[in-house]
Amino acid sequence: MNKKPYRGFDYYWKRYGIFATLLITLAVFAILSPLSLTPNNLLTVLSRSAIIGISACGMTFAICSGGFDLSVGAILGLSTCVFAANLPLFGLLPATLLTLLVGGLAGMLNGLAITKLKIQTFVATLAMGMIIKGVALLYTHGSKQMLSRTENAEAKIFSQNVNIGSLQVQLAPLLMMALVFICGYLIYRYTRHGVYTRSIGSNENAARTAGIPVDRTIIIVYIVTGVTASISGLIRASQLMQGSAVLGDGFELDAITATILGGTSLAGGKGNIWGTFIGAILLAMIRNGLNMIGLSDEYQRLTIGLILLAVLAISGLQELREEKSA
Amino acid sequence: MKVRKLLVLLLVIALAFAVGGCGKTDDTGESGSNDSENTVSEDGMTIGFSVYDMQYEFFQSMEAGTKSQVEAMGYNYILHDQKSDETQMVSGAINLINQGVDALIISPCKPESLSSIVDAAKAKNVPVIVDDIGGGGTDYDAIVISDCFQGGQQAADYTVELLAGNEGSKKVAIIKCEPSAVYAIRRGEGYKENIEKAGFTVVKELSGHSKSEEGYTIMQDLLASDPDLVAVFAENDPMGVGAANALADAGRDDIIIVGFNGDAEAIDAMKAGTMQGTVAQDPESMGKLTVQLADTLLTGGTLDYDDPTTREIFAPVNLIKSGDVQ
Repeated sequence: MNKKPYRGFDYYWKRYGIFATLLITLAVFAILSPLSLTPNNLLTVLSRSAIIGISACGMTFAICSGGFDLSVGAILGLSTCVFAANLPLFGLLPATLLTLLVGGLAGMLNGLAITKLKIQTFVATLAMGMIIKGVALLYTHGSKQMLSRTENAEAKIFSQNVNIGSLQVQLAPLLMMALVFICGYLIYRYTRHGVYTRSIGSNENAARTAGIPVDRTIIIVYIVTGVTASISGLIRASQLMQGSAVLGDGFELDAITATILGGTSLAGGKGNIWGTFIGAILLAMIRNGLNMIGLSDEYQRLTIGLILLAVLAISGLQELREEKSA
Repeated sequence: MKVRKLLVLLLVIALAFAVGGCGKTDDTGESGSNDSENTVSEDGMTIGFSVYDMQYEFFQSMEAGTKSQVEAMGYNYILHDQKSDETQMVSGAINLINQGVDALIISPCKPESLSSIVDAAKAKNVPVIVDDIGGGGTDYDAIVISDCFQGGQQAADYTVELLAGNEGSKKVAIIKCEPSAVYAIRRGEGYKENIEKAGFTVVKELSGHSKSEEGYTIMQDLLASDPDLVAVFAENDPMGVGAANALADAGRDDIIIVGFNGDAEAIDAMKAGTMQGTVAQDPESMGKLTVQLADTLLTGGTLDYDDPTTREIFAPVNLIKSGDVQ
């Protein structure tokens, strides 16, 4: 009698827990600051979550493969520099492609360091992050690469506000996020690469024995994280109209947090692309809501930490119960 | 296996080059101090200046001010460049003391590592004047910092002046640096004091952690929570510029933004009309002031502190209005 509803909670939490958390968060902020429910603010939160979300989508694959990528912040920073430095010289499309290429290349180096040099992902991506930030600082001579709102107006394409009736939204980040997540989901669910990634995350040796091209798969995973971090960089450079090595400082933790909030296990093997999507929105919503209420820095940190802990504790306890019952 | 060995070899070579690169900068650093060793003359007294990093414009101006004042007062001058490196800061500054400087002026890249330097100086009875950044809680003789509180007050007075006759609300907001930036926090306090004296209300004080991307998102949140805001003060220019971009993206040009630092990006934003002012620090006069203080101590005088408990001496700041840069 007692056992069944207990299991029921686990069942629903696993599937809809992050979504429920999002709704509860929304409800709490709606009470504390009614203006946070205005359509324009909700759209702002959505489009803001794109920067974190797009990178977190790539990060989901990395974490699912049993690793993670601590260099995405540095890649984002370098991407803003490459974009802002090259746009005035070569125009929008070449600068964009070059930025994505640089992101992919940085990711590939991560993948090579992890697979060919057998460096642990933590150390490899941490070191690569330092190197990439160093490269970005050298590239910009330590200063900022500024874009002009009038002369380089085309850079605004990734963050242009669009007015639809009384609504105002940055449409491009939303569309980019939607595209990245749909591709991410399809790859994760329906392609061999998705299956390989999960298998490697569950048991790398078994995957190797089964004839899965482990090294190639991992390299691809990190190329994707690099490229997604670059896409996030494009949006940020466009919003701030500048490129700077420091623009990605601390960003890697946001991307990892969104992914884990979404239910992707750090142990590897289990990813949840849509969970990551909601996780990114949740993170953006919490920050937005706390600002709307006007909470000071100390309490904001406290609150965000507690929410993270609560969500992860529920999932953690649930896994513990599963292990016991298994 | 062979391929892996080859890759390891390649990486080792690459690393060797990277380290070699670092070594090179070390060499020039040392040769710099070797050169300066020759300039220690037997006659007259010598003032040594250990600068944060001569790559940055701010410290170039500071050095220019220091040097000109040292020469004007008839002392010998030795310069040491820390190149933003903690190790170079400690070894270089102690080297200056060992070379027999009579007073040490230092703008420390790592204030928390000042103690060994100050100890070495005290052992030889060499006065230590800290120029900006922070004193690391050590036993320095004086620290010169920009008058942040008064700078904030100037920003507030200017905002009030611009808003004269404005029919809008009396709501303003402050975007703060991180709470650990003790001097920067005074800027907001000064602003708050004078803006509230003029009858305005500070409705929100949010921390942007000195980052431009957070200045951007906080401005978006402020527009959602307090759309009738009339002015925003940012405790540093990167956040001010971020906020100005968010405003421009939202198509708003009716909110006054004043920043702090006098950074080039803020001047650009003022030229473009998206920002209205910034409070500039004056590193050249700060440099001159440190030499005057050192001179007072060397000639047996006593210092007149602005804050005796922390031995702080304030250097004046300059408000730059948008009209000044057109």
